[in-house]
Amino acid sequence: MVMNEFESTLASALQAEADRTTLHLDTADAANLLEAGLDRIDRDRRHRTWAAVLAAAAAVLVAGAVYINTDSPTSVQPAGTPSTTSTSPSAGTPNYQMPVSYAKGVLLQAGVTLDLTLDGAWRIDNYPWLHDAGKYGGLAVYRPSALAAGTGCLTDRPNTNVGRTPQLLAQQLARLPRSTLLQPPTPTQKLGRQAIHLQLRINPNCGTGVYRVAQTLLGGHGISYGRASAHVVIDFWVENVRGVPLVIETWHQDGASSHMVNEIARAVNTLTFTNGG
Amino acid sequence: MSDALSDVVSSRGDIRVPARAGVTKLFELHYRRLVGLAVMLVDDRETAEDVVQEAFEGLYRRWRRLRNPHDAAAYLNRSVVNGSRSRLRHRATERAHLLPAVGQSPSAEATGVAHDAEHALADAVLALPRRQREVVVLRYYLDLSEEQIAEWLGVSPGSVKQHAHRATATLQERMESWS
Repeated sequence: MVMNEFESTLASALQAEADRTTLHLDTADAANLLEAGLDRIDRDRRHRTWAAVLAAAAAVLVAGAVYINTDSPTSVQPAGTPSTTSTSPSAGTPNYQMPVSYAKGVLLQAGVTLDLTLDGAWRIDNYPWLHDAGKYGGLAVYRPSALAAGTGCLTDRPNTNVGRTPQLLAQQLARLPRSTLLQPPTPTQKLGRQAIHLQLRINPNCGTGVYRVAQTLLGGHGISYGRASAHVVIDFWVENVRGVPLVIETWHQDGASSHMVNEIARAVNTLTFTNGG
Repeated sequence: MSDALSDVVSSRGDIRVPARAGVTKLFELHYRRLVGLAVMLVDDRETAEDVVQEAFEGLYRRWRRLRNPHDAAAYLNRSVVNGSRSRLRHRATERAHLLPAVGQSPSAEATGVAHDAEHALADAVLALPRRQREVVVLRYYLDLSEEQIAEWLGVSPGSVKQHAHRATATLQERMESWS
């Protein structure tokens, strides 16, 4: 379009106005929100597919299994694919990596050393988990893009207004739906960094649905396993890792064996962080 | 095709790259610009960011139906314009039109805040009646033709021409009153 002098000034003024109003735009936060939105779309699609399959097969699947299948990160990873690289742990060599944050073009990954030779060995879906003597437990590391809200069940819209500091994030975690605070947020050290620790007991029973603790880069992170989900004890450590406020989480169902709880505690202490491509 | 857009196109020239990778790339390329567009249409940045997020989610849903990346950029532009107009329609009360009377100079304080004529002119655009503002933004920010604007807004090209004429006349008067 050929413009006269006034029109050129007008076009320039509008461009300058757009630049001014977006000068302090938090694009990293927006990118996380977009990821959460795309995950939701993927999940809705998969749920529709699964609903058709399940209706046809008249299969009875436990809620945890459904969740694991429907929320597997088939198309989520911005770069790199988490995979096991060996079957036995050795100090300093993580055998499982999970993307935990992607912002400003930088992928942050957490590596963990899992003992895959044990009875009730680790299994891997969105995050590593164990099954031993009828009880479940696991660990997760993530920067949440949304947190459980309402009933906490997958059918309820999560809270996307997530705190951007460890303090705010810890306060929000302390108020997760259907939870009892066992240990309030307390400053501590975890993995050699300052952290805030808290512990909750959650009733994750969502009927045939799933309790979603958080929406993360890998999709929904849930803790509903088994036909009648037992109450779950969760430990959270919230800390800044390379400038990113992260949640490090271990969880186990009430009545889990000390063997399982100890293995989860051992594994989480092997966490290391790297920037991936 | 721009070099940046070529990143979301396969070697065959079509858009058969994975939807998430394509949308993420387009987000990096266009997010800021689209928020700027939406702010000029809805006034507040929070609503603008919501509108733009919805546009990208809509693009993700219909990714497989796109034929080339230009369609994607055009879809985003149009989706943001439609989403912004929809938000305005659903507001209980639209913002008051704050354009000062023609011939009245901006106050010394306002002049101090508005660092230059461009800033003051942009403020004057935002104070135009809604339809005039939409026409000006689509014409001079998105660089659309009168025919395209007519199609997007669902009005006749003559109506677009009329709104554009009234808007530019008002804005030119405003500029002259400041000189």
